[in-house]
Amino acid sequence: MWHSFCDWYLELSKTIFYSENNQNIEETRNVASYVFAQILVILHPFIPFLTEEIWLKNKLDKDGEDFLMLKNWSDATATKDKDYDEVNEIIEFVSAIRSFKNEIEISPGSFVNILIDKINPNTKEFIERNLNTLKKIGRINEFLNEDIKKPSANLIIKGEIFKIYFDEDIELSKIKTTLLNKKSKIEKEMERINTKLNNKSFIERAPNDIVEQEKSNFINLEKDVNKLNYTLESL
Amino acid sequence: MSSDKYIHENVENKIYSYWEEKNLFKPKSNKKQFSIVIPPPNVTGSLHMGHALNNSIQDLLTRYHRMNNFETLWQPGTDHAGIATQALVEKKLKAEGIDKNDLGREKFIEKVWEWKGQYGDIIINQLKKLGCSCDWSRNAFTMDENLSKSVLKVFVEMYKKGLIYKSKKLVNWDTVLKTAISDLEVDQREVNSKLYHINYPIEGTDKFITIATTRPETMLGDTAIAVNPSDERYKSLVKKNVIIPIVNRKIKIIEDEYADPEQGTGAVKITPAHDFNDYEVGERNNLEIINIFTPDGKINENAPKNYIGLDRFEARKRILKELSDKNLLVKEEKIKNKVPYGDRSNSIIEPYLTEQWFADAKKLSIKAKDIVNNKTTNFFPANWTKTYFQWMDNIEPWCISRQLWWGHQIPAWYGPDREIFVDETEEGAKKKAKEHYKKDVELIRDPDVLDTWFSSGLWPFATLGWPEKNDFLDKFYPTSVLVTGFDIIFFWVARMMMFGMEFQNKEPFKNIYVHALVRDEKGQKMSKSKGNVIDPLELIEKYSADALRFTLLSMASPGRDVKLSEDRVKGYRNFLNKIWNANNLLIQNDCKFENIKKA
Repeated sequence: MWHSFCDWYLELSKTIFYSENNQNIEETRNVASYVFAQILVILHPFIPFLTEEIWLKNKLDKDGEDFLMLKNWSDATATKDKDYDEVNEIIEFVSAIRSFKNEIEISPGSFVNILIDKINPNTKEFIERNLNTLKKIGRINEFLNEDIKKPSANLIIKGEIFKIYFDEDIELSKIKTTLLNKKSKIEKEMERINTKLNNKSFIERAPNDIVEQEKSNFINLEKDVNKLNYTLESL
Repeated sequence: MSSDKYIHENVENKIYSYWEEKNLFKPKSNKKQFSIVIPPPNVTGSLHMGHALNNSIQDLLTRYHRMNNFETLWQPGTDHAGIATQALVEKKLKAEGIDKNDLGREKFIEKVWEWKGQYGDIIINQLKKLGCSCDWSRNAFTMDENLSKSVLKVFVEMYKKGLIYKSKKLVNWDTVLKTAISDLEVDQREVNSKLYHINYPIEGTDKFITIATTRPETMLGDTAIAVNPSDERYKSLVKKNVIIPIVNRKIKIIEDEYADPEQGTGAVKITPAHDFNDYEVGERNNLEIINIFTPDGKINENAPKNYIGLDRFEARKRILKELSDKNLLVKEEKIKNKVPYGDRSNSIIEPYLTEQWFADAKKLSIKAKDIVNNKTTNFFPANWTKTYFQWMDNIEPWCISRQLWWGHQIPAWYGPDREIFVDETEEGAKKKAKEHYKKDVELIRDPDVLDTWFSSGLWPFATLGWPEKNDFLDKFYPTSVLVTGFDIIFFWVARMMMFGMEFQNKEPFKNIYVHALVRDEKGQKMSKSKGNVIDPLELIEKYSADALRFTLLSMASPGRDVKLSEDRVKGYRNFLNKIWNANNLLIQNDCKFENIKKA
């Protein structure tokens, strides 16, 4: 709940609030209030003081009759619809950009430009629909359709290639070194697993699910290395 | 209106008073009921981490049900804690130079009530600080009028049914507190001891029989030596007389299965007055019972003159010296054995022959086992069921009388010939006595009080008003859940089940949630000596009750101990800030909460 509501929902809400679209603002206000109120209700048995304080402060108490303490848990079940999926996609996209920044060790606060000339039309539409949100939360200056002469690296998100352009101050060589180090670490780990998997006595003695686990670990690491390679090549 | 930071110190007390003023903890009429009785903390107590976990869980369940259309009651109260409280007040008075015996019983009890008035509510206030939503208007105390009435009624009923009786038996005697205690309150600790091999001269010969013992001082009360009938070594010595060294009393060598040819020397000295096994040997063989101790563990007048008045361990030293001088001490062996300690006084328990009141726990256990067998009452996690049956299947008679002043005084009166008259009131007893003697006689009340756990066992139905007929009992008994630590399953949970079935013919609770312990972050038990005790009140002050509750609740998964660290609590405190900030954000953007009420 912490993660979903506070981090994502509020961030997403902020973009709407700061936008000029009044209708969206009003709707967001209502939804945010409703969701928040429900959250207070659910949290109340755990953290009664804070939740009651907020409830009363927000004058959710009418005429001293309604306390959070006696409020009823809502039976409303959340319905999953396409909007729900859309939000998930936004979260996935932004998360990918963020972890990429983290991996090449550049500041999460730094802005980037992204080339989207090679992506498929559906994804382009998705980006257009959520342009403001993605730009604000993903810290993206612009989505570009033409290449520009700036230091960049390639990133694969959900099978599609995005070219990420960094700010002037980023030293490409430093990034390359960081990535190479990461790659060699992963390759070492893959080596270790490989040795294990080639060891007859391990295969024979270890329980099946452990062996399967190691195999899948190896495959995941392989995927990571491929991604890194791709990015490295582009630098 | 919206402040930047969440300052819990400004909020928690205020909100709690608000709830209390509006009587929000009282049950609100509804179709379904949910009830919990609190494990009453000792009136001497102060909130520790175990309480914090235990009560957070109860409050969580209570609030949840209250918010889900249940008529909800969380019954609070405290326990008079006989031994603990008496010992505490005695100590306090001693520090002021007052001895309780100079005060006399009545005045001493007054002092205890005074103390209770001053300090007894401390833990209640601490529970309130934690946010506990108990119905405080029903705050009970095991020695209040209602509960005391229930206790007396239960005693009398059980006595009439033969479930309570008086008997002269060997009991666990605490020489420091000078009272009997039950086998549950005895802590068997493994210690390094010495096994002494001693020669007893055989009458009319220059031969000896060698016995081995860890407690040489008890030889002063020996009344026989036992050997196993199959032991070839001693066959020729059976029925011969032996002279106890130092005491110079003649005792016989007898045959009894209790003597184990493989253990020690195969010959055991028998002291029926001071050893549980020896007592049984004594019964089987009609042996004399010679008590050699005073209630405070000193040697009494049944011993040779120069030993009278000595502390038992001092006597042991002297005896060993005397035996050694007389060349009767054959050898000393270093061994490890289990020694019984009183868990309250930390003194070594002496088996002692006294007249005490007992409850027939075995009979009471039958129905209490049934309800677990047929799943009327369920332990959660389920593995506690096994532990429960292990104890219940091997249950011993329950010694319920205590030689203390603070507690429920036993409603039994004695006539001049020690005839017993049991009744809920003195008038009732006097009436019965008059009928018996055909005239008015002087009656003396039994000075002893009941084991604290006796009154605690009545908690679920007594706090709901029994024996007065009232709708609270009908509505809320059986209670829904009992939340408890595992350490009092036998002391308390089992007894509530026994009394509940006996007097209500219904289980006291449908479910028993046994939570784990709170340990330090390394998983070690919190103890003063380890210096790793975390004070929940300090955490509440520093980080807020909400943060502490949330930390404990989120880590409390069934069967797993909670490894608590201050950092965790800090983390949850930050979570509170996040929510506060979320609220600020919404307010800053003019989110109108009133509109959503219809949603």
